[in-house]
Amino acid sequence: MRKTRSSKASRPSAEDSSISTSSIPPPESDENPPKLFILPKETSPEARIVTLPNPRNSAPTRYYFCPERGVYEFTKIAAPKGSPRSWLLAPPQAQPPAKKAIDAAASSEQSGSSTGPGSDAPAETRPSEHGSILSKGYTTRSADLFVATPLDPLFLIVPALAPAPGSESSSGHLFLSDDDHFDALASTSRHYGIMLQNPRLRAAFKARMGVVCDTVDAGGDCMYRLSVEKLMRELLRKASEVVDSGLPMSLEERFVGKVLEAPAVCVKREENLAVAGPLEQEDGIPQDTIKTQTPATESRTDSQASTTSTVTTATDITEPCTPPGAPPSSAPASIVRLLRLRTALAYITTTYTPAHLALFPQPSLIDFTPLTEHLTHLASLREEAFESRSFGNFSRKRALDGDEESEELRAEKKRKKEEEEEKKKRAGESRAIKGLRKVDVRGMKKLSDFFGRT
Amino acid sequence: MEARLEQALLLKRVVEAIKDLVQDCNFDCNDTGIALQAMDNSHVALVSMLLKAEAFSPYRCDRNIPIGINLTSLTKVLRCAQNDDILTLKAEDSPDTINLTFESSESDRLSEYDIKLMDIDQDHLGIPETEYAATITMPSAEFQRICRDLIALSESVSIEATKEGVKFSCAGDIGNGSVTLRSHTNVEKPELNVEIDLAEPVALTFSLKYLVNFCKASALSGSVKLCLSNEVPLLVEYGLSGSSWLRFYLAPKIGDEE
Repeated sequence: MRKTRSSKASRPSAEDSSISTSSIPPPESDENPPKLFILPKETSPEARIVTLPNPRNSAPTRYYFCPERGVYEFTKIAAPKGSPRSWLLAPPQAQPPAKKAIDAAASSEQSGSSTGPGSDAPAETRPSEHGSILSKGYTTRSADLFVATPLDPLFLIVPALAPAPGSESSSGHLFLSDDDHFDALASTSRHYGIMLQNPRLRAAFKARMGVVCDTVDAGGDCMYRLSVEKLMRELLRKASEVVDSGLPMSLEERFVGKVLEAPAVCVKREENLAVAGPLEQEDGIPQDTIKTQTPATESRTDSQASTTSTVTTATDITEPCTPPGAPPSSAPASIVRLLRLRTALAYITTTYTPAHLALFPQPSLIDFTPLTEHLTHLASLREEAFESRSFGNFSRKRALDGDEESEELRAEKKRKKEEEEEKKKRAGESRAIKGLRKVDVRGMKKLSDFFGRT
Repeated sequence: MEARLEQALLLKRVVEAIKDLVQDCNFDCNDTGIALQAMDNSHVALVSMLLKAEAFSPYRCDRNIPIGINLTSLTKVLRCAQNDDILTLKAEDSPDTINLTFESSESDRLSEYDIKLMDIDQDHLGIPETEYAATITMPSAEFQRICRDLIALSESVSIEATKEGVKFSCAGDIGNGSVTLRSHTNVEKPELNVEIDLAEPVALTFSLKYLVNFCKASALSGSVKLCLSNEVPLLVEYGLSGSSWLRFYLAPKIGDEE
């Protein structure tokens, strides 16, 4: 990712930033507000935002195309829904980028609290030397940030190489020349037609096609046919690259850390509690760490500090976490790597490859069996732990909290026990008794209706 | 309580006959003998047994002792006994276990088993002595055959007793069928007699699955007695030696006839 902060607005909204001037009544909210983009450096002036079908689901999606540097996709980074925030866009000459970002966050805090989300209020509540500059600024409605990241043209060409079954051009099993494949691609979007006039892009497409296709030389012309195995191998290579440079934090946490977490058995649990205890008492600790992370915010109030910290965590998500020092659990490193690989691969295949291909690596390419075995083992452990927890005698603890949750747990436990007993009873039944259960007893009164109880 | 049975076979067959109707039941021991009453899961059938003290030699029981037992467990242990073994049941006054010893009649083999008992909460029904409208006595093998034949066609059988005879009939998807028996006296083989004692004609419908289940007691007795009255449960009685008996009751199907 190129870290140039050029707050270039998208074309349709380019003129909007000049509209908002400092006037006391807040201007009408824009129908087409500016969007904040981070675009690659040194692109050609011919670079355009184009609409192309998404390789996964062929829905029209925006891409950034530069004739010299290739195709970029946009990754949207948004603030969490629960905390409305916005960007302040100000003329670029005055502030160093870092300061500006903080100001943006701070003013977003103000706009969030004073005027609420959705209003485009000029930030004039800060009568500082930058006041005039800020007052020329523009506060966006949402804090969405679109980052253009390079996209392998391979993903764009794959849908053309492997048309969905049932579509008109389902000649997926024929060798076709590159031109034919490009025509297929151009038929899906008008923009492709224009883009494909660019020889560089054609060359890039050809090169990538060569990697994933079986080729035949037909009279000087190279004919291509998609090879799923080659594609898989290429995707696997990509996935292992992702794993080598570290999975993004959010993926790592959710799909690797959580999954490999061994269930805590009773004794361990108490240890954990003991460790967690003192930490919870000292509320200052976490905030201290936040402040050291963002020293510029030290002078501000706590609430602001915490806002900026959440902003940084929001950006953390996209940054790949450096090779994890400690493996998340007791799982052997090979298992952890396999799981990371599978996660990365699943992410790539479900995001960038057509759904109908349903790609999954053959065991000959990579063998996930040790991983699945380990996961089933974990699942059984978890089940055991759950059972020991629900049946174990924690009555003293429950008496302490005594809230609904424990009530629920108890009810659940009781239900389970009853079920278990019923099951046991049924398991002990002979075949004949089971057979009698199936007898249609409609019209038959109970014997207690005939004979009195004694 | 201590009861000695000359032949383990009797208890084996009794348990064999009822274990497919009920899972757990109480054997109530008192000074007159060992009694049992239990209903199936649906409470539409009832089994009642009385092994009188005379069936044992000797029999000693000073007070009422309920012996709650899982019949599957009991079957497992009884399978360890040879048919001709001498069986002795022993239990304390408020027992946790029941002790069974099998003595081989031929060799000096002695085997001994303890079965854990259970507390069973069971409804006990008072069954009055009833004058039935029709009482049919027939070979138990015959009754078993009729039930097995008819269950191939239908789930339920209609039993019609008139002065002409008794007719078992059924109708099912593939067709219908009936078996009619008339009073019959075989001088040479009295166990093949069919006797119909009729006060008034009766017609009732019953579930064949249950009747087939009852027939598992056929080995206990050469003849079976069916007692019917309109609107009351059918009684199927197998006589055991020494006026002991095994009885099954089954509620008739009412209002669900085709």
